[in-house]
Amino acid sequence: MTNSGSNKFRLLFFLLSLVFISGGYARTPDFTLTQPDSWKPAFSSTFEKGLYKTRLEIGKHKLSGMMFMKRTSDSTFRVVFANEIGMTFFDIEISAVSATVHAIFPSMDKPALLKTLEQDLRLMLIRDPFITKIMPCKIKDESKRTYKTKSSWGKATYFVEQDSQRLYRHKSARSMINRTEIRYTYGDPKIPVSIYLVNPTIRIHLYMNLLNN
Amino acid sequence: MSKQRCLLAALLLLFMPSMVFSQQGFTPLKDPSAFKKRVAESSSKIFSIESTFIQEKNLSVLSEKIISKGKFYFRKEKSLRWEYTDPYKYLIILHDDKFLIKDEGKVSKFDVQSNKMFREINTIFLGCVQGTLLADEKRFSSTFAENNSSYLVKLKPLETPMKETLKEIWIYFGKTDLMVSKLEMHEYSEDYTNISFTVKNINQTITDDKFRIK
Repeated sequence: MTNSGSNKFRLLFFLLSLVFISGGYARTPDFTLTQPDSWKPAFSSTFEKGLYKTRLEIGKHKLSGMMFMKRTSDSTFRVVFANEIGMTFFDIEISAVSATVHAIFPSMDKPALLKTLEQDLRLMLIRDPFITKIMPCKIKDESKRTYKTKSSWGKATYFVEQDSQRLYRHKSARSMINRTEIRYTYGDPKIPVSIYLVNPTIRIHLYMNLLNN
Repeated sequence: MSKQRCLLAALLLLFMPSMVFSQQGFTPLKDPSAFKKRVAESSSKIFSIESTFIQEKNLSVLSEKIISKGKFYFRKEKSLRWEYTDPYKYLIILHDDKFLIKDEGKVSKFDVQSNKMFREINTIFLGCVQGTLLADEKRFSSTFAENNSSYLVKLKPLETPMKETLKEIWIYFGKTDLMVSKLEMHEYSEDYTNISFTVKNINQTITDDKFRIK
């Protein structure tokens, strides 16, 4: 091997090492990362419980009823969705890293659907603790701010009101095809009065309107 | 030791039903056939019911209740209006084997027989009002009990899909009028929904427009 060939090989090895090191760093969630203060999550740490009139559309199937959400610990939420006459569609307990299904309507008991529901509800309720990178983006409207993030949950874009720092829109891409968008509107309460979630690939549409909290 | 355990388990199994009933002041009914006959006779004299109701969905683990209120109308043979007024308006009408739902101004129409879930809801609601659920031994196994003021019938669904979603249906009958005073739908998760029928008007005229959606 000539001198220049040896140098090229060393350079290539060095560059490849850099790629692997930085790639490995990016893939490992940093549990101790200080959370960004750039926006307030839709459900703050003071949120205790809320009852929403809810319509869930999964493909051509339409379900309506009430969704009750309650914080069960600092890091977990229980979400119960039941129809008007009280029959439970699902009862799921969610944290940032796990989910427990306490009850599920037989026709909804499908692993892929449950996984998607779990991920979408987590996105709505829990602030992503695994963000490794935040990039502020420029937008024309000065009353709004946009941030792009990377995390083990996937890539996401947060749309934030400048003054209140409230999150009004949230787009997440867990993979090329697994994408979710959530829109929040606020009223007097400090929690969203209406929420619209759409997952176009699985064809999930979730409409929620606050009844009481 | 194992024999003693077996004996204890056998005794528990033997007395379990009466223990469960007695916890709520209920003791097993001595003559369920006579009771069923009386309910059937009483139901045959009822042509219409108008009532208010309060529904509570009890989330046992969360120690929370979701409360709904509304009005209930029944007219023989198969017309039923289930109208929620609180916390929001939601209307269910069963009429001529059609299931109509009005929610946020939108009306949806279903054929009762073509939809399993609506067929089951139809069975529960109309079967409770007409007392036919008690005699449906093919679809439910039943136990009967009484206390000072009520009869309690516990029905266990035997057929899918109802048995997959409901563990038991408890129906309370008032002793004075033999009418359903409360309905409880128990799920496997220990959550249950009870519907209490409060002010009742019996055999008053209920016009057709109550079973139409405008």
